[in-house]
Amino acid sequence: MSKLIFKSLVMKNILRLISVFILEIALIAGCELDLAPYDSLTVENLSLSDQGIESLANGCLMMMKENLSYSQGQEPDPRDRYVRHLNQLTEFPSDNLMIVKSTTDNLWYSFNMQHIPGQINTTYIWFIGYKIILNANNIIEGVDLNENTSNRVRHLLGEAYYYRAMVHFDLARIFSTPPSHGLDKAGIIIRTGTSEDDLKARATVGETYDQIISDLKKAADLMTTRESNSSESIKYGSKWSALALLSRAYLYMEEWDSAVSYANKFIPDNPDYESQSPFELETRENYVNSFWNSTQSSEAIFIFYFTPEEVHGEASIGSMYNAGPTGTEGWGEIFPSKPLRDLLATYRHDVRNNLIDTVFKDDGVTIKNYPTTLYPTFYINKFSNQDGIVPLASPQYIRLSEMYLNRAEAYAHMGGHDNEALADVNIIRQRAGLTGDELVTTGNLASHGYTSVLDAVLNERRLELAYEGFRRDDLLRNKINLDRSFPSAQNPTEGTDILPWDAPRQIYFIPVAETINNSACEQNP
Amino acid sequence: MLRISGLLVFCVQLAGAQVNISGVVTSSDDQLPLIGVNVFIRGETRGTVTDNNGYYLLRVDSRSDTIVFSYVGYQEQKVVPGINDILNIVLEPEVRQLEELVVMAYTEKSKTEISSSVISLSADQINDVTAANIEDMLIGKAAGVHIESASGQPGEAAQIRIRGVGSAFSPQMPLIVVDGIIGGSYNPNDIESVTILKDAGATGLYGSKAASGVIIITTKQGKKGKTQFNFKAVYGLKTPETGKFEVMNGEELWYYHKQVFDPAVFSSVRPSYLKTLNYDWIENSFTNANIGNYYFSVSGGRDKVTYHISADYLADEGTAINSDFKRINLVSRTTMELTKRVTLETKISGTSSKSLSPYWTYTEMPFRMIPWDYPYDSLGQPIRDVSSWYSNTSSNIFHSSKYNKYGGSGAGAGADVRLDIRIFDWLSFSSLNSVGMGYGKYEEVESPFTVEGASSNGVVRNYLSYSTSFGTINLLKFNRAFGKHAVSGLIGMEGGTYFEEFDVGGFGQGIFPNQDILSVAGKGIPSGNKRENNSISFLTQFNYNLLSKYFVTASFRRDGSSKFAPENKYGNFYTIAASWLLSNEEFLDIPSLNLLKLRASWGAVGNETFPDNTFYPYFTSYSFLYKYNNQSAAFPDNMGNAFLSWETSYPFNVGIDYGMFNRFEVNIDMYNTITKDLLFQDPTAYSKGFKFQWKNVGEIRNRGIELSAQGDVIKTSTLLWNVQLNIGTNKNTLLKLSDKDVNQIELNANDIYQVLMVDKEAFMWYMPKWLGVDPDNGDPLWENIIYDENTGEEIDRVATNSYSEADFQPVGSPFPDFNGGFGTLLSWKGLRFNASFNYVYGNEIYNATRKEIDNDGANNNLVAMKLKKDWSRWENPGDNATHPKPTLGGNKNSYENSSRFLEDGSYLRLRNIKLSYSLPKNWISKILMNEVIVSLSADNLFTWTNYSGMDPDVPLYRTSTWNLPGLSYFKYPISKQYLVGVEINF
Repeated sequence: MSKLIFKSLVMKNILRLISVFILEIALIAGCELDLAPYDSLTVENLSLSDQGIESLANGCLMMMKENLSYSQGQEPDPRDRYVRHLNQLTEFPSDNLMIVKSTTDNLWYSFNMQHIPGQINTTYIWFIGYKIILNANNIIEGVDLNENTSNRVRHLLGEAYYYRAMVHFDLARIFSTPPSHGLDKAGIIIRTGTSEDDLKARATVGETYDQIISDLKKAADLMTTRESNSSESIKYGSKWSALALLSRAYLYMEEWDSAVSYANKFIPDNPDYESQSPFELETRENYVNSFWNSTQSSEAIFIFYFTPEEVHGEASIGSMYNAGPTGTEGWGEIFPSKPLRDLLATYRHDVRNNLIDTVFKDDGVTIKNYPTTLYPTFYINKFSNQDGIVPLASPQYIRLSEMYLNRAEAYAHMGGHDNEALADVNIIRQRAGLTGDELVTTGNLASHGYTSVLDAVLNERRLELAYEGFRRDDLLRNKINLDRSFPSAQNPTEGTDILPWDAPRQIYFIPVAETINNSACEQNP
Repeated sequence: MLRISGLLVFCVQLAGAQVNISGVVTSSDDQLPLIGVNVFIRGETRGTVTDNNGYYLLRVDSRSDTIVFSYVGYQEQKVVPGINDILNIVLEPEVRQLEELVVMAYTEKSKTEISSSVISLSADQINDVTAANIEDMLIGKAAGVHIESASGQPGEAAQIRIRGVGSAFSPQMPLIVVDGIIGGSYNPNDIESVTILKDAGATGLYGSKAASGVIIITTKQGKKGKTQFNFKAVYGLKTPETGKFEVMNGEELWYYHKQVFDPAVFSSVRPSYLKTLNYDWIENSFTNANIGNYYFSVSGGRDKVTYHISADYLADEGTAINSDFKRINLVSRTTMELTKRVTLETKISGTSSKSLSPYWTYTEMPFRMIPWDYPYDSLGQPIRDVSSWYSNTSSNIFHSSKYNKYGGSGAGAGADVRLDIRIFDWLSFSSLNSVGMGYGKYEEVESPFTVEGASSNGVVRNYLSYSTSFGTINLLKFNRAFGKHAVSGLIGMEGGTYFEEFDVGGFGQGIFPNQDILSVAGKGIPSGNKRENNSISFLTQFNYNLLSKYFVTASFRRDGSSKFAPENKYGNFYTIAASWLLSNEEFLDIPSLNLLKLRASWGAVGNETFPDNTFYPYFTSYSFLYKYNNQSAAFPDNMGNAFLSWETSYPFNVGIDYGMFNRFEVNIDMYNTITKDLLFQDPTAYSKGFKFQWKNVGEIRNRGIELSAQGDVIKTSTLLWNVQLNIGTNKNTLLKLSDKDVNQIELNANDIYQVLMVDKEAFMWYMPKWLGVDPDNGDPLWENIIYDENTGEEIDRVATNSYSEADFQPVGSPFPDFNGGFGTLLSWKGLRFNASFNYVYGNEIYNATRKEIDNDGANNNLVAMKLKKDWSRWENPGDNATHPKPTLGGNKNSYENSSRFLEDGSYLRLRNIKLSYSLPKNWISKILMNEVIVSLSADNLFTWTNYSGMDPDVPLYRTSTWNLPGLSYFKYPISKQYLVGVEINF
């Protein structure tokens, strides 16, 4: 074809090409390569505002009750929650409970005491515990405390200290020996900054508890309550929860005077009593309900609050204890042990018996055995029935009754305060509905089967604080061997089963996920 | 006078009168008539076809019209009749070997020109297997390409890996390119050919996304000529396959428990009537199912337009409870010559699918259930209250599955538009643009009747996701020969964006039975999230060849990604490849030798693919996904890394291609790839508040040899026997770590560990070494390594029966010594038979299921596995047994992770066997068909292995961050498939 036509064709094509090309370049140039996620923020953004600090504080609480994925990329397991593992790791290895059969759930290791360093429940609680501490440290580093700081931010800063102390304390109870076994023994890793090295050694037990005390004191100074409404304020850290935890911490440290003086702030019979303290011992009539609906409890000081949408069925704390009236609303495989039942049965009208639901056969008289076993079935309902939903509960972390019992134990140890110790014990017993000779005096100790005032106090703690994770600590601190010579799946022959108080397996292994990446952290024996 | 009239007559004849042209068309290789050849006038639709004798008769308007003869598999001929009335045509078969064009990165090259390690497969070679995805079709077909058929879940694609672990820790899949569009969609029945690119020389032009190899799929296009209709149907039966795995029956389990429990309590907890009870949970939970695939296509074309339109329907029932997958695909691909120099191709596709997935209990619990538990009551209804069962479970899967539903649906549509402009003969411009939209819905309904839904009074979860993506590739290509030299190449830009809104929806509680929408829920929690990523690249390639004997290719690419820290968003990558086609040399003139090529390539290729939808890895983020007391709460989620940058691989490849008699071909490749700045989720000490941090941590080397050979052992005009085999080996070694204080990296899934130690083979299983059972007392024994307190050196190794004293050490490799496949094809007249096998040899699988069901009495609320022939339990002092003494509650943690559960995973599997018959043409032409093929085939017919678990085919590469190569756990079993098929062309 002619040159002219050829040229114009080529030109047409080149023009077409150019126009398409320009369009493409425009589209490509609009490609933005600096993108940020929609569902998260950096910590710098968060610390800039009061709203952000509050989200971080709420985050600490959220992490105590949510289930996050702790293994690389793995789906979170609904059973992994701080509050559930805390209860199970501290309560299950005690003489309060028995289990009807073995299970692949790692809670079994708390019964057969054959811990491994790779246990899922200990790894999870370690993992989430330090995440909570990281949130708290972010608040502590992010708040510039001066006279212009608002009350709200001041309070949130106090909450941060409280949560940090609380988690360090819980981890210390699980992974290290109590102070009474020696202040120089290995404690846990203390984290007080956000940019620390990976490699950090464990502090000693003494240093750990000193850090906890110091944080709690700062917390108490900075806080009052988050909300004015008392049933709302107990869902968050407060001045009261810090003071109450101080009583517990000093008790564990065997500093009896301080344990007493902090307990005194909650009890009206002495000059140290803080008149603003809104707490009163629950009545006998409302006793059971105060556990079921802890927001309505007059003695709850700090609770982990679960909303009615946050029902976790089988994975809830109450599930292992209670399968509900139909027997299908939970696992219901862990019952009060025979010795505990016998102790409660001493006085049938003791209100604490109502926390146990005996399961009868259709005749209403014979107790039903757990299927395929010879264990009579007893459900524990302390962590059930919030808003009428069987597996829902908001467990109380600290309550007023414990203050009385902390004071009682401190008195019992101090010597020369036996009557005061027993007086506190009796306040609890009276509330439970016991009277007259059913109360304990230095005179009738033997008739109750108690060998000493301390023994009476410890047994009262056992009855009152049952299933709340105190028994193991009480025995361990007081260097009493763990005697589980009663029927339970880990002891099917019902033979003698005694674990000495200083046996290595009283304490859990530090999770291998930590020791493998932190060579400075030494493992437990 | 006569001359003039003769001329006039001649002119008249030439000018307008219609003429009949006829003749016979034969094939050049066997001189036989070709039936069904399209004969038509160029530029018109009117035409005819040759009959049984190869004879045609065509009426033309003028003798100067061009007649086109077109037939599949033969080269087209155009002839002008001129003065002839009879035109006998001999058609040449399309030469397949050297001049065949292979689709490469952005271009096509002839086989001679390729300097890289490339595998080219035609549809025939892969379509023997019926599957929903290409991955399943490629198993065993290509050296160095390893595919695991992950699970029996219908619609789930297998994992595919090319050449060893490309990027050690980011589980990256090969890039799939469909008709030039990156990540495009396709229908397996539309596949025309597949090219697999393995080395840098071939993949380099795709840049970072291709670090793990590229699979290029070319789908069918229309061809000019009479319209072709194609119909294919395949239907068959699937049977669940559980390999060598067996659990004890009721009686065996009773006797086993007798060994475990204390005699004093045994008769009360395990009464003897239990021996008579035996419900086979596995057989009842996985039943036979059906699979059907129906495909129909229309293709054809006239002078300036060709088209291919297809519809495909797949219905794949799963063998598990409440499991199935249905999908419809529609594609329309048209190519239009707008002018002589401009071509426009459009492809519009749509897909819609619906699936039901089994809840995890339906596929895992059957392997754990105790045979004394019956799921149905005396009226045949599934029971709900399982408290009297022996098995440790809270629900009856037959009850839950009756009322609960878990499933999803999806739809997608895409449009690809490609414009090619030939500016000059040696210069052209291409623009490929694609737009895609996707929609997915995940739905769960848990009825208040069931255990799963009861505590919340019924739960409904609906999550929708919606995504849009856009991609564009614009290239300028040139191609010019100057005497002995030829150069070609391209230069261009590529960009893409992806945006997704996901998890939009929520979960609601308090649902009345049989209702399944969120609005009727008593209360609910909403959710919604979004994410996006963008990329932009510049690319160029240059090819040079001298005398068609010496070839060089070089390419360069610059990629930008939104996933890296601001300073490191861009990376530069380059490759170079060269080859020497010895068979074209004059000095090498051996008649039988038709191909001898030496080739080598090298390059630097970046990798930015993060797993599991990690879109923002460099960013330290606090997430707001959970609440406290209905208020917003933040928690530390991802530990960022301001220095995070590209991982770069340097693959070096050397290869030889050797072919004889145009019938046999051998390809050998040796490769050595070093990957630097490895992207790794480095675990941090948990006490810092994070579980890991993305870092560039070190260097790993991947090296191996691949060999593939294929040949026509017998080839006559009627009989063909072709054999192919391929084999590959690969070894990974960790070369160095950037943190000098650390000399190993551990990977962990569910507390099962693998380790990478510097200068040692990578990904070794890392756990205590099992030493067996103490003959004196039946205790488990592991190895404890004793170190010198001062020097830290190893002094001794002793046995210990305390698990916490046993030392973690490397105990075996999950990777095979070698693996590959082989197959054969026999074809005689219309009959065709082919079989293909794949094999893996020398790997160690960790059988994690044994921890739960082979644990020496630790857990008596699950069934126990039957012992293999060479296993035995310790009973009396002096016994040399493989299993410790069964003890209630476990025997000293004998079931904890150790090399006890590492097993040899070698296997040989008959992947597919197929017999097909193409009905004789003279029968079917009576019913106006061109071709009818009936076939019978079977997939996964036999597997030979010693592995005691369900399936020795385990992922040999890390499929996600919570998995490890070589790890085997309970899974949805794969199936054997028995299929009948028919294909009709008319």
